[in-house]
Amino acid sequence: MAEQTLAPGTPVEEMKPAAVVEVKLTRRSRVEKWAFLIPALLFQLSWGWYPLVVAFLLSMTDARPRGPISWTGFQSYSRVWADPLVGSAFRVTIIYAALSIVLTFLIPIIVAILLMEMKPRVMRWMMILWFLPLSGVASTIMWRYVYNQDFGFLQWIAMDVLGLERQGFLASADQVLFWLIFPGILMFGPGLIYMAGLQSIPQSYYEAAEIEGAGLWRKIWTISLPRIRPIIVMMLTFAIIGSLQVFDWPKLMTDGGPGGASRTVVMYMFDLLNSLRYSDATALAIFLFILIMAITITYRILFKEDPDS
Amino acid sequence: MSSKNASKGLSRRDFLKTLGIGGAGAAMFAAGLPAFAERESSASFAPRAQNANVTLQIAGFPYTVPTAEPPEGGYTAQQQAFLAWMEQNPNVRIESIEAPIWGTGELRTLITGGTAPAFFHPGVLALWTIEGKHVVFNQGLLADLTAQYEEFGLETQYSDAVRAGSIEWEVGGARFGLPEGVTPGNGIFFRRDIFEEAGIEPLTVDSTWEEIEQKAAALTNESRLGMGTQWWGVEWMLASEGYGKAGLFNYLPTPENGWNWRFDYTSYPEMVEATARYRRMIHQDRSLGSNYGDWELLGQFFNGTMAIVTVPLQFFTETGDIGPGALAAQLDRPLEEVVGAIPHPRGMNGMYGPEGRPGVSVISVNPDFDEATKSAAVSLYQYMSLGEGFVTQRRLAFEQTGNLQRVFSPYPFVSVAQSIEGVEGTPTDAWGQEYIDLVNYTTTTAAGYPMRGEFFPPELDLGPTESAWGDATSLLRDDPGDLDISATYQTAQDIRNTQAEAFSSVIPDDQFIAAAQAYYQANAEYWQANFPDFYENTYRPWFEQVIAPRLGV
Repeated sequence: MAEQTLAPGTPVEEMKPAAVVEVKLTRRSRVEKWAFLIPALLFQLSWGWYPLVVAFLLSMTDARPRGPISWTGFQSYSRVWADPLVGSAFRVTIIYAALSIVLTFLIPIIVAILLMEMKPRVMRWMMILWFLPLSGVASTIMWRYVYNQDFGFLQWIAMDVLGLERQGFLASADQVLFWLIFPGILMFGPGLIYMAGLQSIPQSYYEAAEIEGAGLWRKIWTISLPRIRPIIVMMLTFAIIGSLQVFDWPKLMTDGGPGGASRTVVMYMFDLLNSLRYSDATALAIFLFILIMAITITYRILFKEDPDS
Repeated sequence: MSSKNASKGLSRRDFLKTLGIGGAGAAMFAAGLPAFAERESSASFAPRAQNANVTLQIAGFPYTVPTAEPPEGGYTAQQQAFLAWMEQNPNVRIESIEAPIWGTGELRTLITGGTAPAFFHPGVLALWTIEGKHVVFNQGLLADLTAQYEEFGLETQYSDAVRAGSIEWEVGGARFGLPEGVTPGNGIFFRRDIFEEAGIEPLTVDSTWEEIEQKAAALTNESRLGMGTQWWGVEWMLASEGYGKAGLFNYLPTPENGWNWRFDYTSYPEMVEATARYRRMIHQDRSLGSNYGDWELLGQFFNGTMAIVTVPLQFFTETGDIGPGALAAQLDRPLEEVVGAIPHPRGMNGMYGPEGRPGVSVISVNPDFDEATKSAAVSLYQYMSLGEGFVTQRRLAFEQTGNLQRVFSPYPFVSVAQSIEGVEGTPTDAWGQEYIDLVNYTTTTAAGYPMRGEFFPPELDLGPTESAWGDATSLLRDDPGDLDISATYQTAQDIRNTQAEAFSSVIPDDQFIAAAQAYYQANAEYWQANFPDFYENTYRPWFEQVIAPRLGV
């Protein structure tokens, strides 16, 4: 590799183009590079893009598990578009995603930052308590008990402690989405990742800021948040995609009820598959794909700016 | 509706060509979407299974494959019978495999991927509905066993109850299922001892839902619910009136449309009344728990935490730890003093609901099998469930326990023979006259009960999902507030009718109309003969005002 030497006093702008040096790979290096790339590419093609293309083609047929199939064009799309339950499933999904992001995304960031301000001993205990590993099934059973209308823990708090009227919780069409998301607030899942990011910020930044007279808020705003911004951006992308694709938790807790008030798009897709309507289910999946892509692209454009630039 | 069959078929090969995928790509294709395998059109026909070298892979259902070495404690009665069949059929190789046959998606993948075991339950694929089973058969997911029915003379070996429920295993003259269990209908168990303790008259075959509501309220206390029912419990009360998911009055034939059915949930005050009773029991009287599965209900009944439960009547002959027999033994009282059983009550309009008819549980066979392999599978079934193997199992059960209830469980049998050679004793000795009378009552009353699936050719699609109906019933069950029942049903009706507009039927109009006429004619004959009041006051006026104009008669 050619080495570039610069005379002392060379202006910075002159350094930029010269810093990009073309590297000529040897034949061995090229083989090595492809040897590493090909498995990943094949994996991505076969498990990522190939099913996507097939799903798109499938959505334009009357595909059934067996027997001949016919091209039907956009018939499945128009049928799914006209289905009132599809609109309601998208509405539920978007509300669920918005609520979920507001309630379970911001809180862990704030809590992680505040935890970092605590004494190391207290912080360690808080982390242990918060990040206790809990089995998904056990968690479902526990929360079903907590929400039970007749003898659940929350009903006891509502009626016996707070003196409120009997509450519906998961059986109430108005409350069900909030109570489905509520455990996510307590579980504090992504907080660990923020804490890892915060711990990687050199202590000297904060010390320098304190010498300059910065208070807690100033330190958070000018040091902590900008330094963990890439993590926040990535986590928010995952949170948006994950919450728009939510299935298992509401399926286990409410099965979409009451009255479809917690039936998400993926749950309705599942209903369509169970009704042997494969092309309709894939058409619905394509609609969801378009929505997620649109939101993700918009979001990426909005957050394109590099905080360090 | 001439366009219903107009679409041109595309073979799997054409589809693959279109995708431009060959060889290795085809394997990926199978992973990405259902395999569009052609159905076996014909294969070498072997009249006797034992002459053919075939393999049956069994995934623990409906028989447990015996291990090569006897387990500790020896083979079970079923395994001993299985071994005897294997000895008689040395050319049939049996393999025990692990396969997820109880998940809808998993089983569908096994079948389309060509790795399904010999036997599975068709209900898993078909939303546990009769129409669903007919559709999945039509889609080629279940083997056509018509030739094997003839080869083994199966129909002559079935009991009356199984034959009365032929809709569960036959469609359009083709046989797709092998009956492995029969229940004399869905019905109600009640704890006679608790009724007696509370000084309440026991329920009878003539009890009404109104009477049950009152008695459930009277039996409710701090530690006991008067009644328990499944999470779909409202369906029982609606079915008694002719309404519900598959209700006679809720399906309106509309041959002029692409999809031949429309839904009507709003024209019937009795539907609202029955629903209001259900909600009153849950939210006002707090006498009804409606969020349970069948076995949970049996458990609550055993524990005495529910005095009345809705269960399949066949549970009466359940010999497990929570069965009625075990309950009587625990209380050290005769069975007839502890557990009572009745069918679901008749409706306010005098109707006898479809839930009272015997239900047949069937097993289906791998659709990829050639005729010889299908014959081997049916030979095993015939031996184990109807023939020599069945008798052996029951006789061994008696020899091992000396308990007649073990012999006649579950009861009634699928087989026409309702006693066991070599066992002294009858089903009446085991379960009492009352249960046997109940079996006879439901079987006799339901003989000729017309079900839609018997008359209409199967569709290729199931049509609108049941989600909108499920939404309505879950809301009606869960919402404790002042819910407008009519408006809730109106919403479900509007959604389902909007959905129906987007579907096309594969049944030509003339065939559909002919089938509809036969169906409603059979209804007229059945109701007139068995429930003349209902026929005169409800069915006939409804047919003349609502159905006849739709069919142009």
